[in-house]
Amino acid sequence: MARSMARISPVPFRRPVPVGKRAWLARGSGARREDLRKNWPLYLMALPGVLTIIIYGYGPLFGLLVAFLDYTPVRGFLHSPWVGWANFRTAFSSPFFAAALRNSVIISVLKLAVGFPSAIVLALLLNEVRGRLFKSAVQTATMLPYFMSWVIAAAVWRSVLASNGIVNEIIQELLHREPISFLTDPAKFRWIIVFQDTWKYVGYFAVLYLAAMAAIDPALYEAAMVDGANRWQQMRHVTVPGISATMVTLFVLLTGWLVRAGFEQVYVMYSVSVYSTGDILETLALRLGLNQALYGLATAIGLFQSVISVTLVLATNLLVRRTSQRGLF
Amino acid sequence: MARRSRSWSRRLTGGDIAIYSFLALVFFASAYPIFYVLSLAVMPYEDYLRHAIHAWPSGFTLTYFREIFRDRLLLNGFKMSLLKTVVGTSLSVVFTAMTAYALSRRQLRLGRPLSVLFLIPMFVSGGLIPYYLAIRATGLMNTFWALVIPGLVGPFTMFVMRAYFAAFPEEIIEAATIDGAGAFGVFWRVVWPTSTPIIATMALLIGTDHWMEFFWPALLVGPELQPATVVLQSIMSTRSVIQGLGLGVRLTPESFIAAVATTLILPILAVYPFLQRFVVRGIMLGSIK
Repeated sequence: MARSMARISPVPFRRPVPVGKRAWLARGSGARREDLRKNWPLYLMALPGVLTIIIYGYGPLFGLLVAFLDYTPVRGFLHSPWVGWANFRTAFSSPFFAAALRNSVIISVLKLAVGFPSAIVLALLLNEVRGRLFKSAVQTATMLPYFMSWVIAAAVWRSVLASNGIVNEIIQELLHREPISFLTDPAKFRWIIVFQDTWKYVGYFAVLYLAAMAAIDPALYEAAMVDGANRWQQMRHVTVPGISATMVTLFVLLTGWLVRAGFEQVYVMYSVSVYSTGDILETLALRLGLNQALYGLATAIGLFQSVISVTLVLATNLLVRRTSQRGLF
Repeated sequence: MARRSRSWSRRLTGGDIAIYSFLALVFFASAYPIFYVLSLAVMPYEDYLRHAIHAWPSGFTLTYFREIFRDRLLLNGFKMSLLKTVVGTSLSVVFTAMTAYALSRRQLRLGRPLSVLFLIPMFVSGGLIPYYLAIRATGLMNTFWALVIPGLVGPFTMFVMRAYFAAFPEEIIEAATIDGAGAFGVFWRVVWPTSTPIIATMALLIGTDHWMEFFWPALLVGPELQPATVVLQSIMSTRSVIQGLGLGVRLTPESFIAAVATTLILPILAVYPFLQRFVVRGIMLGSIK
């Protein structure tokens, strides 16, 4: 590649190309036709991608209208009557909705409370490790769950936590207690979900923090050492402030997910016996929409979630920005 | 770790021991569950009966994997998984690369608006039911294409490839154009062959996603088209397949489920070093910016 580049003149003349949306609009139809005529192969190359994103990325946005209709597939969009906020009213007054909302929020809050600090702690500790082999072994092991999809993670954890799985075997044989039914007990289900979520993501987020730590100026550590700080004090006064930007960013992003408790994860792990604590908004919407064909209601729940998510992200960002002059945007 | 620039030959402190033990615990908690499933899948029935605790495999057998091949639903499931992964990944990679290359060309007046078109769905989505209705409206329900078409060009991979192609040496492209190649020709004969690293990486990521995808295939297609992940979930929740298992062969259902899960996990493990390297490198580069 270097050879062929040397043969060509170093500064090829390029006609200035207009950039940006306004330029495209401003130039007029003649230039547009010229663009299409000259560049049609490129547009053709992009066509399949653009088509699929329009149909399956933007199409569903129109589908949101179903939240305001009494929709049945038989009648289709055009013949389903407009019902305004009726679906939302039905949803909000349903005890199932209230329970699902409560579960969604509780699970998300727990996930945040457990998972967020865990990743930071893991990163801080990994940062202290000097043996590269040990450090890379831990990193490899903790990142592996990230690449397993939830159905596989469910297979793994159902095996481990089953009434005849390894955990209960140890409980029975070594501790001589009765086996614990982890997955069918509503009181335990939430914690299982939270722990499983931490298991899946802690390695990934730790790498994010480690990357931020690598960017901390070594001079700060030296100054701290000169002042006599031990490793824990260095951690508190140099490392943690150094990654605070990353922490804030992730925190703001994660709060947006407060009403999204992890759909696929709960779907593959839950069962009827744990609906009381495990049913979240998405699983409720799924059952209402697909099993009971209450499409309008299910879409209304989904729309509610999206609106709340966006609001939460913006609100948290505003709050964080006010209190610490730092935010996501 | 820049701060450890001077050699530190000192004895282990209490803090060191605490850190190392805690991390060893984390290592164990992360990796053991997966190891446990792998060991269940190869544990012979007699060994399973003999021991009360099955922490590691005390024998080795491929009986359960043989049973998978005997089961029609599972065999079909793995066939579908493979088909979906191979076809889906190739189509995705090719079309994403073409889209990304086209949108990276500065002379396209619609280049910027079209790229923005891909940006918005990353943050805004219609949700479950609307997406389901869109698939239905386009006639993809219960077809093989429902497993492949909807995610054909994902915004994230598109942007990554677009950035890569935007940095592609303009001189080479100009040289090829001067030599008479059209846009397609330039892409296929010049850009594509020299972009193997990024294409391979994207193929790996997309392929992994396809192989492990569960949710939408579960919703959109019927039993003949279900990939193995969906069959696994139905085995786990309904235990339906278990009843029809190996007459005359002695097995435990747990090991059978573990064998199915293992077959799904093994390809991921095989490519895991590459996955890990790419993701870690991507994070490191992303954070420096």
